[in-house]
Formats: sequence, structure tokens, C-alpha cells
Amino acid sequence: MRGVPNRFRGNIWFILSGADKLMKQDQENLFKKLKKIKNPKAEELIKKDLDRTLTTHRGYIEKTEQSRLLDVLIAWMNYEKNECGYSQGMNFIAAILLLFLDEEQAFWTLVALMENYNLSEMYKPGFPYLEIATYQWDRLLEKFLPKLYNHFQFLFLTSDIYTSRWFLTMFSTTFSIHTTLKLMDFFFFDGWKFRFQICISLLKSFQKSFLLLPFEDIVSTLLNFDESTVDFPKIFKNAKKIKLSTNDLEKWENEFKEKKKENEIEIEKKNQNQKEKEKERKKENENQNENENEKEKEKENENGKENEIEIEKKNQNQKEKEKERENEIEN
Amino acid sequence: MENFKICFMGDQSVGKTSIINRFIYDDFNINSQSTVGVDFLSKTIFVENESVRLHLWDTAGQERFRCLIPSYVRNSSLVVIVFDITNKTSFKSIEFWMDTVQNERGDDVIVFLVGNKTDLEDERQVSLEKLEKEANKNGFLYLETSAKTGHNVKQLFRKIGISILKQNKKRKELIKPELDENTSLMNISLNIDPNKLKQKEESGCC
Repeated sequence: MRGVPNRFRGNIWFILSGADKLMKQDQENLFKKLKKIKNPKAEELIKKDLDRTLTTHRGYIEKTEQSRLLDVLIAWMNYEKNECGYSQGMNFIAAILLLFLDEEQAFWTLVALMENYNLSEMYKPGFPYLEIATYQWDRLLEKFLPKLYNHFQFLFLTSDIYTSRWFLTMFSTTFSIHTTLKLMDFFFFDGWKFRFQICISLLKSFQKSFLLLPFEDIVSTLLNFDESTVDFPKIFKNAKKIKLSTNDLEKWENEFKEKKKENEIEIEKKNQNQKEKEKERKKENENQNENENEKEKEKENENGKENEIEIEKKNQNQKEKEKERENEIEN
Repeated sequence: MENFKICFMGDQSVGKTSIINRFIYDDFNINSQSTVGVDFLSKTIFVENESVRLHLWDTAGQERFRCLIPSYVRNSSLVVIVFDITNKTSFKSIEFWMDTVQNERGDDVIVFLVGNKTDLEDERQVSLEKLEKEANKNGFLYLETSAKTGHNVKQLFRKIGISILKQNKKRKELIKPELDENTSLMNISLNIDPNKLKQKEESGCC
């Protein structure tokens, strides 16, 4: 499959994502305003990544693209409806958009991706949608490639090792730009469903070799595919044939959310239990201390009594002695 | 050959990826791509006539990614906390990274503290004394490197290899005596006269 020809690509992305509507609704030239608002904190954060985006692309090597990328990301940071701030990974997405769109269009397409394709939920602190997508991916792997799933389980190869990189950068740090663009084309068309289809198709083509390989070779491959070993036309073709049920995806999403809630409740319970135990311990300690104090007091009292008795004895003795003396004097 | 897991952590753009790239490829790229999520590389080194296979986990430095890191620290034999000697903030973050390590592992892991970018001596904001102080306070091993010039990078991984071998030997020695005790216990129980056991049972003590 060829994907979209370069000269149409920008426009197609712009329209498919719904960015064209967003830009039409904008009456006040929002992008131009937003990119000018000073935001030193955001700027510092973003600037760290400017030179570290699409590092093999000429525009970034010659440093002609960095200022455009900065403008788009700063405008995004100043955008009122931005719920997720700036996360590494966005720099790659924005940079890819800028290869085919002007800054204003790229900005609105980024906004559309965040709002219409769940990207905002993915980049939010804690990466809530990444967690969900990773869980969905685990279930898909279990369903479509059970042998591989078991092999990964056996090796303790958890999918979060590669899904964060795959999903947060739209594969741009895993594949070449050429392949990434094709994947993006399909993503704009079909969203997450297609992304999962591609992942299944890709791993299916590697299944035989992965079943024989040790942990380190599999992880290295998953994070940095050698594209000469990947038959992409075949993978795209097979991906389309994989039937994914939206119901399943929804079911797994809910399942994950419930599990997470249960976990959180359990953690809270544990925390509460610990707190109660600590309280009990404190009480016990206090009681012990009180007991000890009482005992000491009793002892003191006893000592006091003994003292009193002794004093009385002494007094008596003295009295007796005095009587004896008196007797002596009388005598 | 045994594998040893090493986790690199530290603030954004302090040079974690560059140190690893210098070690693996003996190469430096001034603009290496930002690491999103985690990266993985492995290499075998030879120290003290033994070969050691290192699994290097290169984690993302942006604050937002900190929530992903504990799972990589969990099974590490050794943790490398990197900071940038020209960036005070990255030095201050050491405390956070230490907490992460201690929460996951307590004191049961070797920690290396690495100040990177010694090639930018003129812009230095953190003195070597401070690094030494911080490291000694926590009992860490420390080193200053430059991924750009290659300064101390080989030494760093040599030291990592030596520490790991030492720790591994200690572990094995710790496991051995336990085994001996167990076997001797078994002998004792086997030496007991079964007739005496029966007598005891029959006498029916409380």
C-alpha cells in the first residue's frame, strides 16, 4: 500500500482530523495570538527537545525547522483547552505535521488530534489512555497471538516496555519517517483501531523468530525495528484483514478501569489498615507507658508507705528513748 | 552468561542516552533524539577475566515520565543516576531519584552517581566536592564523565562491571552457608533413631 501522495497529505490530514472545522470556527486569529504569549516555563521545557526531534531530517539538522516547531508547541501550551500540558512525544507529532502543513494548520491539526483521537488523554500526567491502550493491546495479543503472548509472559517481557514508545510518538522513534507517514495516514482514517491492527500484523510476521529468541533480542527489535527485515506492504495488507471488534475494545477498557479502581481501593484499604495499626500501636505504647507510670507510682507509694512506717518506727523508738531518759531523770 | 540489569535515570537532557551511545558505539551525536518511554541496549564487557552481560535500560527524563520508572528500578542490579554538571537543577533532582530507588529497593542495590558534560568545564555549576559530598553521604560510587569526548565513560562501565561481579559473589556466598545449614539439619533429622520417635509417640506427652 502506498499511502497518500505527499502533495495531498497535508490537506487530507487537515480535513480528516476535523482541524479544518476548528480553524473555520476560529474568528480571532487565535494561533497568532497564542504563539506570542510569553510562557518561560513552557519554553524552557520545549526548547530541550527542539534539537532532539526528527534528528535525521535535513530541516532539523540545518536548524531551519526548530523555530516553527517551537511556535506550534508554545501556542499549544497557551491554548485554553489544553488539558495535558506538554509531554515528550508531542514534539515528534507536531514536527511530522509541520512537514506537510503550515504552522497555523499544524497547530489546529494537533488540537484536533488531541481532542478527537484521544491523544490528550494519552499525554495527561499519569498517561491514563496509554495505560488503557496497553491493557487492550495485551488482550489483543492474547487473543490473536496466544503463543507469542505466553512466550512474552514466560520471559517477563511486559508490553509497557514498547507501547509507551510506539504510542506516544506514533512510531516515529521506532520506524523511519517514510513508514511513519504511512502509519499516520491510516491513523487519521481509522484511529486507534487501525493502529492495533498494524501492531498485530507486525508481531505476527515476527512471531516465528521471536519464539526462538531470548529477551534481549526481542526487546531490541521491538524498540528499534530494522526495516530491511520488515515486509511493510504485506503487513499493511494483512492488517486490514484482521477483524477487531469495537465491543471488545470497549469491554477491555471498562475491565481495565474496574481493575484499576479495585486496585486503588485495595491500596487505600491497605493504607488505612496501616494507619489503624499504627494508631493501635501508639495506643498500646501509651497504655504501656501509663501502666508503667502507674506501677512506678504504686512503687513510689509503697516506698512512701514503707518510709512512713520506718519514720513511725523511728518516732516510736525516739519516744521510747525519751521515756527511758525521763525515767532515768526521775530516778 | 549471566545478565545484569542496569537502570539509567536522571533529569531531561543530562546525557543518559549519550553516555550509553558512547559506550556501545563509541560515538557521539550532539542531538540524540529525546527518549520517550524507555530504550534498551545490551553489551558484554570483560572485567577481571570474567565476561559480564549488561542490559542497559535508558529511561525518559521528563518529569511526567517519572511514574513509569519504578518498574525498571525494581529488578535492577545497579542504578546509575546521571546529572549535568552545568545544570544545578539536575543536581538537586538527585534526591528525588534516590527516593525512587530507595522506595523500590531500600539499600539492596548499587548506586552510581555520574556528573556528565565535563567538556563544558567553563559552564560548571556543580563542583566535584559537592558531588563527592553527596555521594559519600549516601555511600554511592561517583564519577564525572563527558559523553562528548569520551572522558571516563569506559572507566564508568568498568567500575560498573567490577561492582556487579563483587555483589554477585557476595550473594552467592550468602546463599551457600544457608544451604550448608539446611543440609546439616537434614542430617540431624535423619540421624534420629526411629524407635525413639515411636517411644515418644507412645508415651503421649502433652
